[in-house]
Amino acid sequence: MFAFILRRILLMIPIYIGLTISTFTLIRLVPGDVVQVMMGERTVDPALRAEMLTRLGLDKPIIVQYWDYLVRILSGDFGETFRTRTPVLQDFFHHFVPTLELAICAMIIASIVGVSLGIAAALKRGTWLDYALMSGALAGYSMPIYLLGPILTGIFAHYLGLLPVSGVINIIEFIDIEPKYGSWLLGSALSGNLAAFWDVVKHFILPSIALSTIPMAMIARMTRSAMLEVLGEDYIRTAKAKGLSPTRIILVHVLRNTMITVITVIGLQMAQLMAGAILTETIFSWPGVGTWLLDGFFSRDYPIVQNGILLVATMLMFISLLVDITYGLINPRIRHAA
Amino acid sequence: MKTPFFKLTTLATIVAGAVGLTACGGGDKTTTDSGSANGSKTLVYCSEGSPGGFDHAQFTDGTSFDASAHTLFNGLVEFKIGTTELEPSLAEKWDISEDGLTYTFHLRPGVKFHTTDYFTPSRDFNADDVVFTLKRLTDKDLPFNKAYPAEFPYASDMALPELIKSVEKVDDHTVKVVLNDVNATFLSNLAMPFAYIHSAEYADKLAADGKAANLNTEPVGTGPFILKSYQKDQQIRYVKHPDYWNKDIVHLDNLIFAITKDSGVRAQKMEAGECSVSRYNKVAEIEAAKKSGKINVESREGYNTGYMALNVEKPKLADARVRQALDLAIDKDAIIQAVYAGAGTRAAGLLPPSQWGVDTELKPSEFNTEKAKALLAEAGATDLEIDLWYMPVQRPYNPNAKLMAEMIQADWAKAGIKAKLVTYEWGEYLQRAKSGEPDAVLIGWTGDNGDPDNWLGNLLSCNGVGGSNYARYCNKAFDSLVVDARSITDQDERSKKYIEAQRIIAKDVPQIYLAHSVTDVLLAKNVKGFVLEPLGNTRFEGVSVE
Repeated sequence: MFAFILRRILLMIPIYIGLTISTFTLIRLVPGDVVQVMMGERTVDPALRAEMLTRLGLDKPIIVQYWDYLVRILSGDFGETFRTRTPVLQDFFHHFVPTLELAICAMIIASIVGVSLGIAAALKRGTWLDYALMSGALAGYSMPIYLLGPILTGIFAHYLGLLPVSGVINIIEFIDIEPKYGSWLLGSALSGNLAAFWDVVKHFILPSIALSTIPMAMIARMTRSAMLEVLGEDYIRTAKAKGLSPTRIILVHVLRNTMITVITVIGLQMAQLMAGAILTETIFSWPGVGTWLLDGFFSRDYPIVQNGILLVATMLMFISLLVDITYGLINPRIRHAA
Repeated sequence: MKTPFFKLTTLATIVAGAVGLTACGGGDKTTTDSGSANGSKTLVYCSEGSPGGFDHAQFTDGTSFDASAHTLFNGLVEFKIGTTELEPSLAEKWDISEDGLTYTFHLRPGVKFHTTDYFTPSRDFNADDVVFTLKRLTDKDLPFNKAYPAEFPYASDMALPELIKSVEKVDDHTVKVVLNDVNATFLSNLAMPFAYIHSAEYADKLAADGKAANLNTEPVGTGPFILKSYQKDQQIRYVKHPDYWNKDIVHLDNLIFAITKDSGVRAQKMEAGECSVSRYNKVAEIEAAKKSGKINVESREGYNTGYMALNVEKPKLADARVRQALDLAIDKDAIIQAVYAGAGTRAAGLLPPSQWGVDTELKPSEFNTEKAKALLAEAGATDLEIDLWYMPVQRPYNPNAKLMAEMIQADWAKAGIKAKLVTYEWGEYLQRAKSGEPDAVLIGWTGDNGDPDNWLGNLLSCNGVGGSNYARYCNKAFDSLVVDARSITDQDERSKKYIEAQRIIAKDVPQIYLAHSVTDVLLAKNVKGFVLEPLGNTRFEGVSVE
């Protein structure tokens, strides 16, 4: 297992090098002058431009800029953003916490509902329930977030007035509540104000549901097919022949082997969730890493784009590693192969 | 295979759904009007983005100015609420020497700086603060500028470093500023948010502690509100400044900027009562708000002009008759209806009607395709082909440049002019346009300081070529009028010069004037006293919630 983890960590090195080259190059290939974007319609005095380029470190040859960037990253310095001049790392964590909270909530909903629906469809294979669930999953998978988000908001926030439109907390009612480590859930929970905590939870409902539909559909379909595959295995027939109860067969033999596939799907869906989060955050004004990266891209804030993507990739690789370790724990064949 | 487990999973599914539904239905209605929170007056402003920071001197965008200068700071002079007129602020009065080169500011006594968690002032506002603020903008060798290097683009754009010769403290309440040249726009420039006054004592403390950069994150000003907390991309919380020198016009105990980048979401939050003020909404959202009747919509003619610059250096556009033909061939009324959805007015010239110095005798140009054809024939410019550039972004002066360009293309086609539509990413667009690449470019301007020079000097003077003078127009007669007007302090005399200058450009047609857009604000019914500022600022002095 240790060798397996070490090999996975070593594999990250070339991925990192590739990432630094691609993000560094791509953001510079995007047309648009950094200084001009910062200045808008205003005239940029040549001396001022030179001054700004020097301060931003953009006056050096590209190769030197890349080298400086690499050296800084290796020493743990992720630089400052161009516009706000705040440390990128601080900015990243400030935005990553809300995204992580949202992704976890969405993943919990997607996993519980998706696995349940997948199991139900597999056990009722070929019935109207199976067709209905799988058609629903297909619809869920096909529904774009930018359409679902406004529909959910329209119904639950605008028309019924049951849930808030956007944001993370009712700022007037709970004016004294502050986030803790960037987390409003934690901040409101630690404040001991139950009403505030419940209010934050309510703010999470719509974006979490919007973000959960695609992974939910994916998990449901994968659970169903994995379960059907396992149900057809010889050892299940043997278990039945031995007279084990159906509940025991499903809980002990079918589910455990089904979960190997499902956990992989859940792990892979985390990466998808990050992509989905960008759209969801935009629609619900969620202060996450997605909107932060997008703003950084549009304002040509190189440090945000370069280092933000690198940091997001680190998180995703870490999640992927965790999935692989879990996978190895569940499935001894993986461990031994490693 | 019907199993207990199947029942279990079905139950789990139902429970999961029920949890969701309970959550949806379990809460009270979440709408909360801004108003009393714990008995205090609170207003939530749905702002459009995060500020670059709170050191207003470094920025050029209204979002940063609204969050910093207008809430936390004061200028020596400021624009009177709702106008472009100057009024005293931290300077109670000022004298200008006979030769127009020396400005003596008499400072308001007893003005308190904010007391915050990170700084407690030991003294009131005085001349040191003015000297520090102005020197910081103009003197690269100032120790604080070494401790915290920054650029001041607006100060540079307004040529303050070249203009200011010296800043001297005469006594605690008197400051003398000497200029290198007579410049009638100097006071208007000082009223702009970039020149609002910082605390010298606080800056010294930050520099001594090695935390000079905190000037941008932990502000200390004299303004109507104090910064309480800021979560980037989420919210900014302010509380009333209890010792504000002009406390009679501050009626809010708490002011919150709920940062909401999507204008559709801002409109929804207004409808749901989660915000009390929202700006920069799209025409459709404004119309929907008017129909719903739940909130008030206020409008005023924007202090902006959407126009097309014609590159006079291009041989095909060098003849004024060709430029006039291009102007005549555009149906601007149709553009106002389609692009501005009626929320715009025809522009007769570059200056908006509310700008002093505007030539009121100028009339919007007519739409006459036949006359345009005749002029083109006269100028020998048949088979004219033009590259028409349109902006990739929505701006206050032009909500849909692509549609506008398509309409112009169709109008020009009727006059036998072929237009090829071109666009680039915004930064690239501006850079290329400034370098003189396009034949014709859709662009616009929002006034900064209520002075005609800000328009005519920036957008049409010889100095502006390579900068904001996209037409690359350089007419000596026009230029000398604009330059002369800068050195005259009498407004009527200046007006005469500007009117004469506007008549020259009306004949030369370096730009085609399209529209002044209307700006709107959505206001909750219980918000009183909010005024749409001509210069586009968002200010909360005088605003109350009932």
